[in-house]
Amino acid sequence: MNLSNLVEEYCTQLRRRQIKGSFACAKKTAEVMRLLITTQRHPDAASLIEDVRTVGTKLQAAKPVELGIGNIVRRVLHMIREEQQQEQLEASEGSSTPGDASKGPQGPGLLSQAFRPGSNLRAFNRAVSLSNLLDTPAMSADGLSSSFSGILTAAADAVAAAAAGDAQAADAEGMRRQQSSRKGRAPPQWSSKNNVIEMLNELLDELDGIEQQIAQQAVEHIHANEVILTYGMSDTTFLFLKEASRKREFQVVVAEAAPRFDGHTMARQLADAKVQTTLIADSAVFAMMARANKVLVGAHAVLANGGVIAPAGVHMVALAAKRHSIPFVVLVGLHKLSPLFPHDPDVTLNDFQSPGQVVDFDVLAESFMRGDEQQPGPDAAAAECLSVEVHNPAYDYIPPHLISLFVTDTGGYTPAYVYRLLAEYYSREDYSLDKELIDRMKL
Amino acid sequence: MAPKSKGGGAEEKAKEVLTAVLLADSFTQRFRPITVEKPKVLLPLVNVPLLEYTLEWLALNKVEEILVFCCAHADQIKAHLADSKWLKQRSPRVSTVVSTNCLSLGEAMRSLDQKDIIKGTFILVSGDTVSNMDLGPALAAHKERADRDKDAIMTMVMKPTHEPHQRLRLGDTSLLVALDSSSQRLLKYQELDSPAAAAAAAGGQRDSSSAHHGAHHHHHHHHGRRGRSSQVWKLDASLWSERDCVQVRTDLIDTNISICSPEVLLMFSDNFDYQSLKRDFVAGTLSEEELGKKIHCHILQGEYAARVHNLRSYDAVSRDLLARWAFPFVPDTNVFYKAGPWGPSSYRYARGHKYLEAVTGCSRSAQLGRLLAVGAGAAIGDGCIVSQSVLGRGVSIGKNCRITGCYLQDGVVIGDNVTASHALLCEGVVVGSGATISPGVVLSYGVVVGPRHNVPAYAIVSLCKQITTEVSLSDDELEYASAGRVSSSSGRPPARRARNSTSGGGRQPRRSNAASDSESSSSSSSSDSDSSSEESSSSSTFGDTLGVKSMEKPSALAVKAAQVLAGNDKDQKAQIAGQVSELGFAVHLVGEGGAGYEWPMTDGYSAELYSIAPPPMTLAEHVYDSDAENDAAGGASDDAAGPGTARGAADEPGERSGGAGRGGAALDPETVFMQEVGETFLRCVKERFAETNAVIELNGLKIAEDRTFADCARYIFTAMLQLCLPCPGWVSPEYGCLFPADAPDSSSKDGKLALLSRFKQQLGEWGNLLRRFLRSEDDQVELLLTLEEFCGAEGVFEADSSGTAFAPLFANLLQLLYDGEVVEEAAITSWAAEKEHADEGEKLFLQKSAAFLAWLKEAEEDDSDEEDSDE
Repeated sequence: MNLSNLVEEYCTQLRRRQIKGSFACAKKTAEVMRLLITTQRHPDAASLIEDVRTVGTKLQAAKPVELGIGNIVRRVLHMIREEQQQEQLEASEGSSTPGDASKGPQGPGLLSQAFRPGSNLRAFNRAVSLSNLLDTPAMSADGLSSSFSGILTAAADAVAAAAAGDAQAADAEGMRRQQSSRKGRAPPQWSSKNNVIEMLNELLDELDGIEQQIAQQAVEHIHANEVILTYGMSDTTFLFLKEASRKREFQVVVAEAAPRFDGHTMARQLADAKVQTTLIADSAVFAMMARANKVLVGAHAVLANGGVIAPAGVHMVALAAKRHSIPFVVLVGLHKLSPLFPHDPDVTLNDFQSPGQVVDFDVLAESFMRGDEQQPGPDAAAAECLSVEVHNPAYDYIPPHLISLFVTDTGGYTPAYVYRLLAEYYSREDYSLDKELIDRMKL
Repeated sequence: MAPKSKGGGAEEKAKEVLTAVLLADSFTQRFRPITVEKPKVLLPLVNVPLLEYTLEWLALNKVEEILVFCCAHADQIKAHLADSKWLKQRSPRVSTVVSTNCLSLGEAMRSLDQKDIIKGTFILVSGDTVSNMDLGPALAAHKERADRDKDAIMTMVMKPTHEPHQRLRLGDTSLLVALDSSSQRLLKYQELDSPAAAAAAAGGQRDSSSAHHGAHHHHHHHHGRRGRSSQVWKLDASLWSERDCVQVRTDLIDTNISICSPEVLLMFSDNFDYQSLKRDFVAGTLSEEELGKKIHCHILQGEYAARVHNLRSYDAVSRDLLARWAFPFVPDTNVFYKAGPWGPSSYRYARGHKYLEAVTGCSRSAQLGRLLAVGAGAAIGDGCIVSQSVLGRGVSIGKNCRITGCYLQDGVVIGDNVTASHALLCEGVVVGSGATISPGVVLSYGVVVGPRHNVPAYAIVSLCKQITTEVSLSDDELEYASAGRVSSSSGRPPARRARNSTSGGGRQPRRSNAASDSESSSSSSSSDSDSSSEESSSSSTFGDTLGVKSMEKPSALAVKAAQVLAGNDKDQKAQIAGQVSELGFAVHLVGEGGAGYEWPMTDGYSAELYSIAPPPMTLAEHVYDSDAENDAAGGASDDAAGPGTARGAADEPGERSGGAGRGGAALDPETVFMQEVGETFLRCVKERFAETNAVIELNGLKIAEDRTFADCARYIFTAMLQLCLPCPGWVSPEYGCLFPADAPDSSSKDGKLALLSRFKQQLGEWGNLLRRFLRSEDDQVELLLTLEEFCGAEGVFEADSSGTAFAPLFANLLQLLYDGEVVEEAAITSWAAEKEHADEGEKLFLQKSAAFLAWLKEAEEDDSDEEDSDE
């Protein structure tokens, strides 16, 4: 079983919705990435980045609506880049190190001079300004450099040149050929790869602990005798409430979340966990909101503007909360944090699921008969067979102004802070994974 | 089947691999002529081969091993799989099992059993299943039942529908199912209006619906909407005897998804006459209750499951897919493998259930309506209105066309100003400018429609020429008479089914007035001399293939002509004009400059009801009446002389009072059954079958006719009695030698003794057989009542009064049966008790056997006395 077949198999599973939920997708993606990094040979960081990006694009394309896949890919890319920069810094520090001779066109080390004491490019990433952030991702290193002072410009240019130079050389085909030709002689591995693998393992551990991390903050957010309103089923929310219930007495109101009705499961589980629970119809959310002290929901993805993609129906809840000035708190793991904006063409906001959850299949037969009143024939060509169309979207987009707080595994943040989190976890070059798009915009 | 040790079983269970058997052949002909060139499972449904839906669904359910069972076109299916992602993936493992000579599901199962590949529970589906159901609950329920009870061998998945028109929409037949409410055990499974079921009900009357539309309407006035009431379906009262609650449902649609234990394969091997899963296996298992095998049902809630088993369901399921009912199997998840010049599938969803692939060339002035899928590379011209359709890759549509409800496969080319609605156009079809395609039209691969021609509704056109077979079997027959597909000339269907072939032959003249005579059905417009020249040309083109009646390929000449006609080269067209006229294309269907032969609709299969176009409203209302009419039409069939004369030439002239009996007033089904049992029994006698083989033969008949053991026993018994007398009229002459020439004079004492000794001999030889069919005391009582009827020449024996010869010997016969341990004492006493209260006239035989009964009673008392004294 080689890697490409494995990737293909994973893609198929994603397409047929065999892997459900953003957490499962994120974890599986991280595992595929680890496999890619550990099993394939990469002489340098650039080739590794190229490979990860290619595979990542493929995975994301298999299920565009699952943004978590792209997020993990970006995080892995970020790790590699960090490691690469770290290495370059070290190399320029002691230019006598034998390992760096083969490293691409490394600049004279202006950057390293500038940052020698701090010596981490993360700081440089974080310093991005808000106006800068709104530029297109394709601006990447070039755009970035313009906003920096003279010293930084030169440094960034050097980095960009290194990346670009490698990228050109690393035309996917050529790279593979190069690799295979070298295989006999076992080409040298990129020396810092082990660090990346280590970091990736840490990421996997982090993913496993994510729900627990969020749940641990429960006591800080839920107070005694509060009424918490939630919508549908979310594992994160359930664990959060369960954790809080160990220390606090409070009430939970669960909206059933038609047409999937997973609110029923949620209510049952909460009741089993000895939380005082009330189940309501979705249509009662607005009326019930007046009694609530807080709204807690899970989310499918967090977008770069602080908006959220969440199960269909949450927008309505958020609006009701806003109307009653009730805090609207979203519980998300940071693997759901996406650097894309809702208007981005890469973002597929929705998944239209089977109408079978909404209406009985028999409705088709009824409309089938009605449609038949016009005999099929040339003149009836325009006659529509189905007079009722049934839609069952899976998600809602909730704009940032309706959200009071994100509770993540690393603490609570407001939507306005999301851009800073982005800078911490992702490199700007990777915001768009699609290489073709980047190339096109650079031209 | 032998029970394995418990420990071993548990170990096996732990490593049991979830296996699915996917039948890549449905053993029917409903998609002909398309399936002549390409297997049905590779037919694109919303631009993806049908097979992929089933495979994806099985993979979604984490099936680990999929066996694709290929029969017809196995090479194409293998090539498709080799080309796909399936063989590259670890899970599920997809492998093919090829058995090209299988003609029914039963044979496929037996072949699988022989290969001994399947060890554990398996899922049995056909390759045309579209579903998104979660098999988990059904599998768990099946396994749980199987663990508890080894006899729970199968779970069938059914989907309820409360709207009667759903069946019409899906082109499905009505189904009557009886279920045990608590255990979901299947108690009765009866297809209500399939042609075959109707045929069975009418005692062998084949319906001939398609040719009798005139008669339909005529009969409507008489029957009104209550036509169906003439069919009565019986449910055994014993179903209720052991249960508190039985559901009798007609709202279930059979999805043809079943979860089977490995025993199912064994049972197919044990009963080598099982052909169809539902008609033979399920019916057989349900009727042989004493074997204890149980079938259960799983009722789907809210999930989607449908089969594409005819053109009607092809249309309905396509629409369901576009309307996302089978999510995640919708075009925009791009689940399905698709390669070719346009790369992998790249559909995106747009409002109104529109799915467009990344690269399509739609004119800005074209209006794209709802429920539409357009493949990559498709070009739609200015001013077109396209809706409710599926356009394959590379389809090209000219200007100002109106396309509604059409399925255009890859590479179809449509000229300007074409109107097409509710039609299926296969790969490579070319439609000339200004043509009109009416609803229900099917154009198979490479057909060319001439410019400005109007293709009439429900026309089926193919470049393959239909070589009319003498016996044109409909699908339902095919499932029985397996010889149908290969060739009808080489060997008649089994004797029991022989009558089908006659009725098939009887239909031919009728069809001829619709098109032309049977041999040249493709060119009705040509004159007689033309048709003869056409025959000669076809024999030259087909060469050797004509001899074996292969229809696997269109003739090379026809394909070439079609290609030229489809092109724009005027010179070439002129060049081949002569050839084209020689080919004799059906000009009334494809127009001048068109290419294609007519394929008449399969018999017994209503064109309007099962075509790709929705059925007309009027027909829809009457759908539930049609079968009753068919029966009536068949009964009053005015060409009964056809089968009658055909019969005369056959080797069984006297059999069952000839064809006339069938054509005119229908024979009483009971009589027909009596004669069938009799003949089967006589065949066993003549060929000196071992008793076990005779049991199998008779059992097969019993299952086919859906009878009880007692029914068989009755007529075996009377046949035995008749063997003591000269040959009765209904027996065919080949068995005549078995009968004695003379009739002993039953009034004389010698005659009586002779008759008795003959019967004693018969009883000695076949008594065991008789005993095998007498399963209970009730059966034995039934036998005695039959003996009475026989001796009194009542009921079915009224026509043949030979039995009266035994009338004076009734008591002696009783004695013989008792001595031969065929009938037990308890049965005799309960028969006597039953008769005690009958009318005087009916007590005749009771009185005759009074002495015997008295002796019996005495003996019993003696016995009990002895027992008493023993104590």
